[in-house]
Amino acid sequence: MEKKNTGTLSPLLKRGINTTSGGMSRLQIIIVLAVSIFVLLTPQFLSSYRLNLVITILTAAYFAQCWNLMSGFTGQFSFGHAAFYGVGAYMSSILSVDYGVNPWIGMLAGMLAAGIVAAIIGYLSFHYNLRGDYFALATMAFCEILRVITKNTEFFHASTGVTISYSKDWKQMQFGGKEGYLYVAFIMLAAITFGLYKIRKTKIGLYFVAIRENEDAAKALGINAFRYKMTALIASAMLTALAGTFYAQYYLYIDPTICFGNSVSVSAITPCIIGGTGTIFGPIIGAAIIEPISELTNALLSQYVGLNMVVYGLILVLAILLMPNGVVGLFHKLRAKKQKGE
Amino acid sequence: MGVLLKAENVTKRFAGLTAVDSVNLVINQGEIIGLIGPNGAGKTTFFNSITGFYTADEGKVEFDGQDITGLTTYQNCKAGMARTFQIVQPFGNLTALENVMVGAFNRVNSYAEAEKIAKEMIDFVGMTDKTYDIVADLNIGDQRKLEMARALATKPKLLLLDEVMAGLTPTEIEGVIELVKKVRKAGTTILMIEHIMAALMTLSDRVAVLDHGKKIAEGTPTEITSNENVIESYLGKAYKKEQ
Repeated sequence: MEKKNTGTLSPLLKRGINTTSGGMSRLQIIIVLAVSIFVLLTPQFLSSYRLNLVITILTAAYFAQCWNLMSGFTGQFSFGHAAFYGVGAYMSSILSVDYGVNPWIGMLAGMLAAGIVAAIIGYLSFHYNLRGDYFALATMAFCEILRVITKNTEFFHASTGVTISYSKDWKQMQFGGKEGYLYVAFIMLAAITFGLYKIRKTKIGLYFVAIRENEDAAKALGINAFRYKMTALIASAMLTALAGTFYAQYYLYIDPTICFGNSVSVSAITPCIIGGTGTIFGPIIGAAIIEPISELTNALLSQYVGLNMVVYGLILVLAILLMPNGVVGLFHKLRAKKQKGE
Repeated sequence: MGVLLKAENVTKRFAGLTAVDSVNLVINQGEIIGLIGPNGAGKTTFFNSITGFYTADEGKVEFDGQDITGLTTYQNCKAGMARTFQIVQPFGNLTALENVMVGAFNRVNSYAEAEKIAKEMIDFVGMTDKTYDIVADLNIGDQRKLEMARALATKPKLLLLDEVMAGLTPTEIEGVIELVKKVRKAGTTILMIEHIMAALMTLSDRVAVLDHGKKIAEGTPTEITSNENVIESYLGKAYKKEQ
């Protein structure tokens, strides 16, 4: 009765599964509201440097939620989510810098382009029935192809990168001080989280999860797995492109490694693993834990090149060993223990 | 009583090995058909070939008056075929209710409606008290019953059961026998692979016997138990003495 594993990454994916599809408890709602209010008030009392950290957490959580939609919920483990992030960032930046297209329109164009890239990756992978690790490797390869193309094409400013001019105008998708970006990032995160929460209680949401749990059984129950996997992938890609455009408009500079680098793909995954893959709030909790740690190790260990990555990696290994289901899974376990004890 | 499923010369080969060799089978509406044979005879492969898990190399399958040869699994499910698996394939991290709801969504789109159908089906298989349990935590008997509920929630015309009684206790087997009877009474036709002879013989209207991929006999349970070929290849001499 043990399910066959499609690959070694799969156990990683099977952990941290959201089992409760029921509504939120009153306590949960209060916590969510309190944290939201706190975050929205941070510009009142935090320094600009600290605000940057809050924005980083929010965008990392948003990016992780995008990954969560197709990998956590639908079970299609992507190791190349930077592909969609980069397409979003490059599309809006190149269009606005070289062609004078408004970044808001560039953002939509980026989403569309990422959707098309995702459709190509998805069609090739799912049509030939790539599953588990093999699919993950395919996404990684596609991402690397995009990085190499960008790096070697003058049209994309090659390895020089693209510098976006500073304008401080919301019409140019720039929001003046840090607080503007913070509010936008907050809205993006709140929207995607609410969306995931809602979709979990629909036919399509349950179909996504069913495909993750057991694709053969899902097919036998009338699910067109190909179609639903494509849907999850394309939706996830389009939402990820949004994160890329946001990044470009916030830091005003992008290059091939910043956009298509492996570490970008990894940064979509780590918050989910720390917080709980396939859960609604896991990626947010994960981002809130991992981003400050990464910031701290960067600052404290800056004189030893690479040591911050060692510490970061160590923390990740410990988290996986000690909390195989992420923080959310740990909570579930503790609650179950408490109930048994009583 | 019309013909529900008609399989003609269904053949499936795996690199030189002919797992299913020109098998013909007709199932009439409302029947319970048993499929028996030694291990490796090609029973599950035959199941997979007609439900679309495999593409048959040769042959033709008609279902409910339509040619379904070459259709994929989910299309066959939409057409009205549902199956259980020899090795249970649950959505382990989901609740029993959600498992069955996945099946129910085959016919409805609304969450509330699917929930209603799922609860009825869970009730039907007698697992109401386990509606909100996580399926991975259930025992094998319950998982098998749940898989039946899940398949029934798709509202099939034909239910294909692949060894639903394997690994169950005698009491649980009794329960499944009653369940199969109830399913038929509710109007669903059944094709079942089973090794528990006593159960199969009481349930089946007709039994087909596969051996080395070929159908070697077909008939009523009485005819089958007295068939020399079948005794030789599958039932064994002991069965003859028992009779």
